Amino acid sequence: MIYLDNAATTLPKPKEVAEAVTDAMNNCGNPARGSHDASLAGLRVMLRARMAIADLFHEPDPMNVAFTLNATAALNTAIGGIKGHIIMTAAEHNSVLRPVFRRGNYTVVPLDGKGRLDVGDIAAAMRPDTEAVVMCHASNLTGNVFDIEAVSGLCARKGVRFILDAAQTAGLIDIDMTKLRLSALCFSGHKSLYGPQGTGGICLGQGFRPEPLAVGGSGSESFSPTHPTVMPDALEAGTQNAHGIAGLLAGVEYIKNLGGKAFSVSDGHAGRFIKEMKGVEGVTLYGDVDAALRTPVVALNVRGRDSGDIAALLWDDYGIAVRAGAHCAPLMHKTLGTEKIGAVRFSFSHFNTDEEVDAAIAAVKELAK
Amino acid sequence: MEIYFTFPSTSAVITAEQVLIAAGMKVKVRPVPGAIRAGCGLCLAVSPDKQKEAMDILKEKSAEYSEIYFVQDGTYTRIQ
Repeated sequence: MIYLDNAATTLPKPKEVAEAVTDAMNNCGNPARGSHDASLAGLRVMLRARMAIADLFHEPDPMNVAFTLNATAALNTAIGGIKGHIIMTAAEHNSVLRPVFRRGNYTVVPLDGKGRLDVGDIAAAMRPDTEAVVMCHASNLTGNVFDIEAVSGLCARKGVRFILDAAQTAGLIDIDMTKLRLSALCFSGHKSLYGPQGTGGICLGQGFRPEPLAVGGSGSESFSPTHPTVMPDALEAGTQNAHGIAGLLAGVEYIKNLGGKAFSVSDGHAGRFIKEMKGVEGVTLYGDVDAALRTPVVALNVRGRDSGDIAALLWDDYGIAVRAGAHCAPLMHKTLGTEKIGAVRFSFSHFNTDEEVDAAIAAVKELAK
Repeated sequence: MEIYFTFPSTSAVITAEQVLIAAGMKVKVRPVPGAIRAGCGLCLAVSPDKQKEAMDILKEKSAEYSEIYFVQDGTYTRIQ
C-alpha cells in the first residue's frame, strides 16, 4: 500500500509510539486514582505529555493543557465557552461548522476561488457583539495556510477571542500560542503529531475557561457535587487515555527530535507532486498551489470524474490510498465548485518515499489520459 | 512525623513531585487523608526537617501548593 491519506491520520506511526503505548498498557494504572506506583506512572506520563505539548505550542503553563478524545471534542469545548457572535471561515471543518451551526449567531467569511482568505473580510464581519473568531490554521482540503498572525492582530485590536483549529498544522508549523494571544488552541494527536487515534487536546490562554463537555470522576474533591474548576481537571472528567497519551508523548518527542524537518511543508513530497500535476492535461488542482507556505495536502480532480471513482481506481489498480468526497469541509467544496464530485485528496507525511510519490504521479497521469 | 503538602489538582501534585525529585529531595505521594479533605486526592509527604527546603524549591519553580500540614500519630495540624 502507498498511503497518502495522512491528513486523515498519519500512517505509519513512528515505532516509538507503539512501543510507548505498549509500555503504558503494561505499566500504567488509572492516573490520579491512587498513590501506588501504577497509578502514579499514569499520572507522570500524562504530566510529561502535558509539558511536551505546552513546550511545542510555547504555552508557559502545562496545566493549561487538557487532553481530549480528538480535536473535535476540543473545538466543541472551546466553542461552548463562547456566548456571543462567532466569525469563522468557509474553510472550516465540520468540527467547527456543526458546533457553531448548532448554537447559531455566526458569520461565515467567504474565501476566493483558490480558497484564500482576505483578513479584511474578517474585520468587515466584526460586530459589536462579536466574541470570537474560530478558524482553522490550514484547510484540510486545499492545504492552504492562513495568515493567523494577521487574524491575531485583528482580534487583539477588537478585543475578540481567537480560537485556533490546529488539527492540520500541529507538528508541521510552529505555533506560538502566547504570541498569537490565543484563547484556545485545539489540536489532534493522531495527525502530524504522530500519536494514536483517540488523542487530542486543548491549550487554554487569555483567561479563557470554557465549561467542560462532560463532568464526572476527577480523582479529587469527590464529595463536592460539582466538578473541579481547576485546570486540567476541569476538562478531564473520567479515566483518561493515559495509554494513548503515552503514545502521543512519544510522537511529540519524535517530531521534536526531527528538528526542522517536520516543519518543512512547502516543498518536499507535496511540492514535487504539485509541480508534476501542474502540467497534466485533464487534472484540475485546487487551492493556492503556488503559496510559499502550505501543508503537504493536495486536492485535485481528473477529467471532471467523480472523486470517489478516481480514489477507487487508485486503490484497486495502484494500491494508492487517498481520500475522496467532501472531507467534512462542505463550505470549502462549495467555494471550489466541487460539491457534486468532491475532490481527490493526496496528503503526505515524511514517512513517504520518493518512489511512492513517483508512483502517485505516474498513476494520476495514466488516469488522466 | 511528616509534613503533607496539598495541591489544587492531582496534576499539580505530580508536577511538584517531579520538581522536588529533580532537586534531589526524597518525597512520597500519599492519598489525602479524610481529615484534611474528604474524598479522593493526592498529597506530597516530606520529612519535617525538609519542609522549608521543599517550600523554597516549590516557590522557585512556581509549583503552587495549597496547604501544609504537620502529621503525627494520625492527627493533622494545618501549619500554613
